[in-house]
Amino acid sequence: MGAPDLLSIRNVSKAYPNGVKALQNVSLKIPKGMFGLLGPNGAGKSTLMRILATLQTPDEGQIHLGEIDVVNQKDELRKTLGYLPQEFGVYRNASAESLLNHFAILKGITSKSIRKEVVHGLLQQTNLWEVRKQKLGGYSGGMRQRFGVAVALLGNPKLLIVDEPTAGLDPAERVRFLNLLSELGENSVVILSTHIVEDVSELCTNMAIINKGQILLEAVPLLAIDNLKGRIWRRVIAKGKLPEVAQEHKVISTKMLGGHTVVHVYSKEDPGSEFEQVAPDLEDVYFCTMTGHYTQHQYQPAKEVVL
Amino acid sequence: MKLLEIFRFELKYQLSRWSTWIYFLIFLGITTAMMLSFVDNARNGDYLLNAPIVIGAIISIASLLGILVSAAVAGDAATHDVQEGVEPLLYTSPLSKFTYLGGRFLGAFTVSAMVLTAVPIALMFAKAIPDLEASLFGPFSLTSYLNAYFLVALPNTFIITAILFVVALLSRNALVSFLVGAVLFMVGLTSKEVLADQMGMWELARLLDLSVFTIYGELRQSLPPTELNIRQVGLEKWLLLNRLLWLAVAIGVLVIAHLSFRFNHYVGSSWFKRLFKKKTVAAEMSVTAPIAVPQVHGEFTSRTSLYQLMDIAWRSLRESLFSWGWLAILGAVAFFLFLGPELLEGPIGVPRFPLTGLVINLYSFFPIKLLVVALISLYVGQVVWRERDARMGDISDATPVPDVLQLLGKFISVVLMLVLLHVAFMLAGILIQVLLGYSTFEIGLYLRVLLGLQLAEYLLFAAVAMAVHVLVNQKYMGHIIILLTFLYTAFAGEFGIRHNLLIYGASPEWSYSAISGFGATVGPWLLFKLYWAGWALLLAVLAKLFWVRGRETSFTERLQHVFVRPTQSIVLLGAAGVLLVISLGSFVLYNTNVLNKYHTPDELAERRAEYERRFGKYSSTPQPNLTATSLHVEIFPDKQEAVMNGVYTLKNKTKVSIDTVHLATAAEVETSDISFDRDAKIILADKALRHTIYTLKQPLQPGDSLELSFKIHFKQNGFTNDGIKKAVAENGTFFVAQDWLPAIGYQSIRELDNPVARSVHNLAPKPATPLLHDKKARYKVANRGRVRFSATLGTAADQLAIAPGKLTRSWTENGRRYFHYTADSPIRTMQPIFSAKYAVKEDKWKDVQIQIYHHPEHTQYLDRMMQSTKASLAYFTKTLGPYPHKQIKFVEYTRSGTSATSYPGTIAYTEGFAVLNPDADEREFDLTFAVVAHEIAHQWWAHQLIPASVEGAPVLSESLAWYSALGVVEETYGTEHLRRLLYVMRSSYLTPRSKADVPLLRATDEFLSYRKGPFAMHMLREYVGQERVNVALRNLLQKYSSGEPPLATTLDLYRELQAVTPDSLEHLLSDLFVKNTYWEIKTKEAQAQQLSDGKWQVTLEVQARKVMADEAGKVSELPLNDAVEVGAFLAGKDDFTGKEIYLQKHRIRSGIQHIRFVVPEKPVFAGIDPHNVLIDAQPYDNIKKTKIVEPVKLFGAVPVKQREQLMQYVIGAYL
Repeated sequence: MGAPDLLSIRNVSKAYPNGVKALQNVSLKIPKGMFGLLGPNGAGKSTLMRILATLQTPDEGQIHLGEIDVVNQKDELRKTLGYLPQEFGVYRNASAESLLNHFAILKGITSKSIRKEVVHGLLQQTNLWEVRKQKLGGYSGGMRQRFGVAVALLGNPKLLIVDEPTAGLDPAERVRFLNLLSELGENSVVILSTHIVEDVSELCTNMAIINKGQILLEAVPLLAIDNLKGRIWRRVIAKGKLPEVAQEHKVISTKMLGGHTVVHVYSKEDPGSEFEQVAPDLEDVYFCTMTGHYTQHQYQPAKEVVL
Repeated sequence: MKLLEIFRFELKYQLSRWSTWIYFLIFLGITTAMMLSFVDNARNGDYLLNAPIVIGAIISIASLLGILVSAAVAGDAATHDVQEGVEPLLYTSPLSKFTYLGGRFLGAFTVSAMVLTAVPIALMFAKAIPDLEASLFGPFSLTSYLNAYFLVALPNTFIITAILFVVALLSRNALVSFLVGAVLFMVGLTSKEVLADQMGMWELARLLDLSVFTIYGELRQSLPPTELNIRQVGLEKWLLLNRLLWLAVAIGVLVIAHLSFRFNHYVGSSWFKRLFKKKTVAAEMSVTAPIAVPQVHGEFTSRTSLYQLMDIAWRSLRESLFSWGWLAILGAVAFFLFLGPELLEGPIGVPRFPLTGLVINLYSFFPIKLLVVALISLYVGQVVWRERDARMGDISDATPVPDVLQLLGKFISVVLMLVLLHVAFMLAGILIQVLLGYSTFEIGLYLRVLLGLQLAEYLLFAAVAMAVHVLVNQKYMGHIIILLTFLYTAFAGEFGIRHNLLIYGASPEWSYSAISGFGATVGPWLLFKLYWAGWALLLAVLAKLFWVRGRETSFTERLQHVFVRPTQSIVLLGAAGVLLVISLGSFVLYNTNVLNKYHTPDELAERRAEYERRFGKYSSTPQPNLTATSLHVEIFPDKQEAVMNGVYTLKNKTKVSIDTVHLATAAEVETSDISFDRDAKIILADKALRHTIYTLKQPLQPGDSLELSFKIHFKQNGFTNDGIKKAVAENGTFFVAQDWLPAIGYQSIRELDNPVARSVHNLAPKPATPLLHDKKARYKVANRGRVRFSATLGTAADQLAIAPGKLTRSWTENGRRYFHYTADSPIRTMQPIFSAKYAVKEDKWKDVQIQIYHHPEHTQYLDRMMQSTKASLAYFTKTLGPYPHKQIKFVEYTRSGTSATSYPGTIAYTEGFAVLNPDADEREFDLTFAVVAHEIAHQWWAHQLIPASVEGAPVLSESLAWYSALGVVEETYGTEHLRRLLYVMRSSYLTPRSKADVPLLRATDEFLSYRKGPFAMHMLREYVGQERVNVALRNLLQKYSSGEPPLATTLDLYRELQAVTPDSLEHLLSDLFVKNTYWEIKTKEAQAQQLSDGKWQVTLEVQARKVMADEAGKVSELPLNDAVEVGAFLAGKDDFTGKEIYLQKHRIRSGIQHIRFVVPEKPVFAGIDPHNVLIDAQPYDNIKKTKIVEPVKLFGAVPVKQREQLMQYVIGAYL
């Protein structure tokens, strides 16, 4: 059904009973490595994540991880799946070690000695070793998140799905976590859903931007940034002047900086002397995509022909 | 106003939840179902369906069920802000605590109250149910509904919502409100049963019963028929007190909540939380171990599945056990320990030895069952929702564990929890035994009952609970549906559903006895349970198919997957379930309905009616009388089979010749080989109604006899819907021959006697019992005559077989033992046959042989029984007349209960009676001794004097037997002991009861014949004298013990009593027997004052009247002018009366009066009728502690005599 270790999503659609079309005809090919799924809240990220994590079933479309039919062979996929949901709790009365041990058994690690080794290893990796005997009820948000990571990493999954993972982490935790992910990404498909652009730009070899249930862009971050070179311009304006600027230029983002407004606009030509050219970053790619100034079609026609 | 806004928001929130509306519909349904369960009684004419107390009773029970709604609603209202994480927003807004909590609480209360309006609404429209005839309803009265709703339902909802809201609020956990709700529900549902019915503490029950069902139940029992259907229950004393008490509790709880609630981020500060505090810990991201993801993959083999299964089971158990389960188990055990000793007691609270065989019965006591079921529902809800409640559902659902392992693992944890609970129950049972000083524990029996029989019962139920929680997928709704399912299984019979194949989990009950063990009762039980296990398997399949996984949880979404999901194994499992259901179902049905007959009560009633319609015309056809019975009985204990060959001698005692003989055969056995010793022909044989008419070729002339022989075959034919027939058991055979033998003539005993049922079947009305003045009835001797009797019994070699009469011969033949018995004088036709491995204790009184056939292990009571027998025979032969036999036998048998029955020269007593332990009774009276005396007295009162089958008959048998037994008790143990026995017997006054009743002469019920009758005889004796009463009884026996008609009635007793009663007391005799009279006498105050000579003057303020109640309950006052005992006492132990220092009769009149008398010592107690000689339904207010009054010392110099006069004057004025 496809190359091993390749997650292929074809024409997946999902609508909710209340009529919201969470995903519309989504197709993605996700190779081994880190894959970032960027999009605003409500874009359909979590729905896609949950579908990949076997917790929801698409209305249409096929998903395959190598030989595994994700939609119809859920139990098969789960054997090699790691999932860190956006939001989760813990059994307050259990200790980290015993609960991790429990999940290790659920994930099929039955040999007692190996399990012990894995559990201890992950507790150390997530730096929960010191508190492994403590009740999870007393853990802080970041510690719980780390515990979730440990659970997700159990069994060395071929497909790891992490939904908004860095939201509750402090900078140090975030760094370590992302490092762990990329380590795993050497052999597995790791999908990272986020609305934080840096998470993707720092780590992901591939990415997609999703909005309103549709994939707006599927790209390699560095190439995408490259494509925007020379087209992003910056200007600092007074607060009230934004509507005026927006009327004349293709504003892709605004930021407050020291009481002034910093505007990024997209333009193939020099938009004027008030603007200075800036080196684009992934955030600009994201905003250009969201505002419709950057599309798959626009920059990758040649690629498709090649394929 | 902000309060209003919060309230409005809460109300809107709750009303927008679909569950609220389902609750409303459920309550409409429950109410209708409850009312339908009253229809049978209404049709019997007990009451009208819309009688205020019926409405009240239904609403009170419904308000208890409302706890489930309140728990959900209040729990939610108190915690949804925290649950949804909006509390930081709310708590920082400028709301006052009162506004916030008040609004939330009122919202929850209003919603619960609205749901409960379904109850009166359903009741009001019940008349529209097509099946119910209009005659079941009285005129509509809105007051009944308003009273019940506003005095019961609404306050209850307020109280319950307050308590549950507060516990949820303070614990910030909706589950706690459910737990507390379950406790309240249990307490409410069982407080009448436990406090009032079991312990006889009616006042306390009235006060404490949250449901107030006690008050309605009491009115139902005690209201006279004229008032039953119209009496409104307004805000009267006990209802008011009850309401005030509970409202005070509710308000107290709300105040506590208001005081202790803080608008704070919740960190857990209550004592409860401190107890279970989680230590906050921190682990900073400081160490930087090299990044390395362990390269271990899961392996998925069958071994993995086993690991996963056990881990899920163990985890689920551990989780629940450590959080609340241990508390629940401890609570259940405490409840059991609280109830157990009380339930182990025999009749009127006499202790029994706590044999394991008795303790195991406690586990099926309804409140205990209800508790376990509630626990199952809670626990299953907990494990099914475990991951989602911890918000770990997503993570857990994405793990490679097949649904079926999740389901099975969780079910195993339920099994483990139940095992733990039952082990705890076992320890509790053993603890009770230890506390009662008993030490033979029989662990094996405990284990078989608890971990075998009981556990199987509950596992079937757990399967339902599991399926419901999965299918419904809404925790509280799940609990409600599970509870309703349980109530359905427990009360299906009330709705006319009686076949055990139609009631989930139902089966015939097993029984255990020391003599018979489980006997053959477990087999049918098991087959029924296996049949239900088939259904449980199907439920499991359903649960698997609808298992909630992932985010698609709505029923329709899951339904879509049902057809995608089935795997081969699931299909196989389903097929296995269907196979079990069909195969065992049809096997059971074959047993219950083909091998045996299954009849609904309606069919049985119709059959009786048909019998009367077809054969009633023969009721006065002359028939020959039975004069001799000769039996040859072969008992095969191992095959539970018996064959009986019999010969009847029938004599024409009429004055006409008889050419037809009517023979009515028994239902339980096959009767065959019927033959007369002369030519006879069948002219009508009705197999269904079991009535055959023979014509004799040569009519039987007056005075002539004929012989009729027959063969009876009893065989255990499979089993019935009620299980097996226990008559012939492997060990412990007992049956009364007449239950199997053919009867001669039309059997009026088969007629329907319920007046309503008679009219439904278009039968002419007749009194339930023939009237006292029915002269013809005195000549009906069928089934009441005495006959010559002999029997040969054959049984297994290791058993003894017993029948009435003298054992003339016993031998062994073909490896079986045979016994031949012949009655030494004619005996009544109630001839029991026993066979078991008995031990025998023998003794003699004069030339009467006394034998006690008993279970070898039951021996503690034998001496007591022997002593009573000798004392009784001595006393009765002295006071009543000779004993007609040369032997008296006691035989222990295996039926449940604590009773004894007197057969001719033979007294059968149950195992329960054998384990009575009167020595442990703090009230110091010997029930075993008294009951044995009572049963022996029946050898005179029932076996010599045979009462005519008319009203008052039980007075001649039971009341007189008790009266005579009291004489034996007094002669053996003394007057004080007799008084203690009477004191205990009077406790039946505590059971609420209408005074409306027939006079003793026409008594038929138990209270009159076993209690009021003996009391009346005792009172008569106190006034007329014991010897005179005995003369009357002796005369009565002499005149009527021939066994020939006319048989005796209470009128004859009355005549004899009249003959010995002096004219001055004639009115008393009439009060006691002709009228339904009660004395209402009490001491309002007792004062004592020391006189100058050192003696004490006692002044009693007494209130007295005498009333008579007619059958309808109309009470009229009778003139009172009786001499009544007045007494004074010193202090005794435990605040009881001690030595008697004064006892004299004083003349008492109606109204308040003062009685003065002088006693030599300082009295501590004084009162009127201190020994409760009078028939007084309030016997406990006769004696008061005396108040000591200081002598007046104003006129120290006044001469003694003057002073005394003055003092009397002073006291007189003061009073």
